[in-house]
Amino acid sequence: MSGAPGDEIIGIKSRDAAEGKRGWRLRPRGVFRAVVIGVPYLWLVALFLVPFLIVVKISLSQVVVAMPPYQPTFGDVASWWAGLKQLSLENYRWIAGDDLYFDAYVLSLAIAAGATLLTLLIAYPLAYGIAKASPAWRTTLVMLVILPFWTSFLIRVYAWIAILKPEGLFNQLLLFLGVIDQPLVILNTPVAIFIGIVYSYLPFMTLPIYASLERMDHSLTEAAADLGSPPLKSFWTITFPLSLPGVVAGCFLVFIPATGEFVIPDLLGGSRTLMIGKTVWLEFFTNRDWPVASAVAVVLVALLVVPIALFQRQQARAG
Amino acid sequence: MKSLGSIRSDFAPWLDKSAVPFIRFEGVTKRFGSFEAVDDLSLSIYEGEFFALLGASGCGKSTLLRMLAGFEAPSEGRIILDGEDLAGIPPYRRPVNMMFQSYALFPHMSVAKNIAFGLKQEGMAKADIAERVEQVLKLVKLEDYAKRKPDQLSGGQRQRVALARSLAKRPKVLLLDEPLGALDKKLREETQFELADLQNQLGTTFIMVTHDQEEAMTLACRIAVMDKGQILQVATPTEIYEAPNSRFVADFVGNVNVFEGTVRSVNGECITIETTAGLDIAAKSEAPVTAGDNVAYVLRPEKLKIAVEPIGGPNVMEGEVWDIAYFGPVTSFHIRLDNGMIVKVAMVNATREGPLQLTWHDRVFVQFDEDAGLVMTV
Amino acid sequence: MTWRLSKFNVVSMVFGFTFLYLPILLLVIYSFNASRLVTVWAGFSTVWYRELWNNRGLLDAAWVTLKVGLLSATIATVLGTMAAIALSRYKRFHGRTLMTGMVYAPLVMPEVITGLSLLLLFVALDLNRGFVTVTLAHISFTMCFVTVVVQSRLTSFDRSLEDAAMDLGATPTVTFFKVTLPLIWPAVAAGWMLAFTLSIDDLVIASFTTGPGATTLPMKIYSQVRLGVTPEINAVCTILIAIVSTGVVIAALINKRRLVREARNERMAAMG
Repeated sequence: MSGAPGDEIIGIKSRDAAEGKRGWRLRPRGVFRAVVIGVPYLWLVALFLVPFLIVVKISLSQVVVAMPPYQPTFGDVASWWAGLKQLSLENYRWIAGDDLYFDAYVLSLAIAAGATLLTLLIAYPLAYGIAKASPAWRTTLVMLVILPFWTSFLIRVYAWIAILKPEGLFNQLLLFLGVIDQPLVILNTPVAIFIGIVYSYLPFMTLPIYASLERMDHSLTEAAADLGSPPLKSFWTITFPLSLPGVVAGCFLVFIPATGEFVIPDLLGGSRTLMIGKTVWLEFFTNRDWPVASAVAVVLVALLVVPIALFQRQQARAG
Repeated sequence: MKSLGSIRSDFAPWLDKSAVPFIRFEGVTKRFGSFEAVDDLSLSIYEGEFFALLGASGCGKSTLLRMLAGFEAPSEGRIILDGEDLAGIPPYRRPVNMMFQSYALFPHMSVAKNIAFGLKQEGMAKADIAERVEQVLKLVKLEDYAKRKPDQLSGGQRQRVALARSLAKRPKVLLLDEPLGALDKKLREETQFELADLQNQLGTTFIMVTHDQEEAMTLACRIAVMDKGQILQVATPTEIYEAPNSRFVADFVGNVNVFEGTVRSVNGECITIETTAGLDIAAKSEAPVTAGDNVAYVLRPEKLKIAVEPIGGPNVMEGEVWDIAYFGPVTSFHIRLDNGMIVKVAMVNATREGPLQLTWHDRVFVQFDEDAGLVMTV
Repeated sequence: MTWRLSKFNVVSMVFGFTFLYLPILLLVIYSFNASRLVTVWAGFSTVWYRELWNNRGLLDAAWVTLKVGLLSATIATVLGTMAAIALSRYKRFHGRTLMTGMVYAPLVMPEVITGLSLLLLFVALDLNRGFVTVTLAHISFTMCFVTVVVQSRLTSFDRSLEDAAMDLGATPTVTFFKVTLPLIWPAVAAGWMLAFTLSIDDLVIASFTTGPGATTLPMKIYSQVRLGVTPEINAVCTILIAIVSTGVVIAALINKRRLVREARNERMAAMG
């Protein structure tokens, strides 16, 4: 070895400069990173963000009875600017002026909230039971919760029609048991919508709650018992607060999509119970009024933007 | 400071003024947000050394290692390895390899495939790879386990596979992140010697990160004690233990009794310290001190003697047995001196009865020589 | 530790599972009903399955659904896995917040809005609605589910394995294909399954984005259900349930075999 241990070590090859000239883009690390971030990013911008902006745009344009049934406000840049001047809040005024829309929004939020609570009441004890089962059983039980989810959603909703209709199995059972002597009208009422939502969304509530219960250290409740807390008190002071992240995630996963639900109110709720998801559908397919359908959708997103943002924050933190 | 020697007294390039360091950290700072993990640190490590970075978790030792491996880039300063600035070189192009704390064995590959992984990336010929794999497996005595998957191995075997994998590419420097941390005590002691032998045999530069002072002392040629992103002392294990340069180092490496006080008189090397608790201590000081200086006298527990009868010599103190902890080879006593201060004394259990038939609240005398401890200026 | 279930636990589980499975069970039973009247049992029969075989419309729709499902699930898995890696491995890049938003929002976004917005995009681009557009739409809404599934696996993944691969000289791309992908494979496969199921199940988004000649099975079922309950639909549903159950059982068996192998390895490791 030669040279002095001074600060100018002879022959230090500075890679800095060479690397800088070539630029970061050429390094394999940069390429991988750019592809992995860039491709899904562009896809999401093109097929999630941009379409939504188009919805906003169209909600501000006028109806034309033609195909496509709206005044196209884009195309080349010049007509884009011209289009901007034509924008109006006419569609929103229309929505605000008609009680039908207002009632649909309120009803959707109310039904979604009520159904979320009901789902929680059924899902929590279920998740709690699974979490308390032996590890060997747990896998099977979780699988049993997920299994119906893999079968068609449409089919599962459809199955309830046969059960709930006046001459359906539920009424037949009650008549047979002598509980009632006139068939109950459940199908085509809000009650049927509640049942449908609770049924379809039960796994979405059960799984996050189960996950947070299962993660919990079993010795915590043992410690509480050791310190003299009776089981029920331990549940409310230890178990339940610690499972709250799961409860919150489950509630978001049920409430937000249920508000805009279309299939369940359409098949089980009948024509008199008009929820907002169905309103969008009707405006679009039946009335062929695309601008109004867009405006209804924009207002729905505006209503849901707070819960969606909260849900994202929670998910991002958990991820 | 006088040299207290080391295990391999013939190997000490850091004492050779003309030796060129193999690895140099020059004013390296690493910030994570506003947190400074490593703070303007400079350090030289020589070829063939077994170097240990010792410190509590969060002291920045792992960050230092990860910067050398290339997983983190320094916020400031530079790292030079064998004359080459490492800035901008990604981990996969650096001539260093790391043995990970969790071992990081690829669970979907057999032992042989794990070891061959790095060689394949180099584009080595198949026959050469097979030969090299066999060679390193022999080195760690796992020839019969080549076809096993990591989850079919015991903890000690996994550790050796991780070692073999990181050595297979014959790196210029081997980085070891808590290499023995996951092993139980018995296995750890055995493995320590194997690791030291291996390093001796290969002559590769090893840099180890550990929070276990015993591990650092047994394995390393030199130890850097770190705290809050800075190096407090770099020295041989003996120096670190017997001549720590600060109370933090003294306290971190082993046990100490600390007597704080002021120098009352100086007579050449011999000084008298009046402690704040009102004791007079006769001591020898290597550092120059003058009367009136505030100092601390730092004393290792095994440097004190206990007696039941009054004994002669300097620094005799009287007290009562306050606590006894039996460790097997040694017994540690806590003696409460009459002024209320507690001193720790360690005694070797040279006979089966133990050195003294002491029990709680026995009156005892404690004594130590002038040069038993270290005078530190505050 | 003991795993004792209280009476309350047992009752709540029995209730929960009965609620989940009874409707499906009834549907399967009545698909074998000889009578056209859904509520009257008139003996065992496979007549509706035979009718189904002659129903060209349903079979065509099933074929379209299968093609859309396979194609969209595959592409969504690639894109969703990429997004998962981006979000879990790169903590700092421009627009990360926006990307997080665009990944999580579609999970809960009401389908009518997703469907409507994609349709308006396709109209704006002057794309003919059909097989291509419905596939594109399904890729977009299912990829986010893949991302969530894969991301949760990546989060629990020992990062030092990737570090070790790079330390041994593997570039990020090699590291991904040789180390990361083989280890997250079960999650990627689960993501694909999820995307496929969501795609073949989707009614709303498909209704908005498809065109003539590309009617999917759910759309066909929906239009028949609107006309009233028909036993043929029961038969279709039973077949779908049978396919899904078989898949799930096979997956469970594979999983069980893996567990047995792991237990054997542990014993082997203990013996040295």
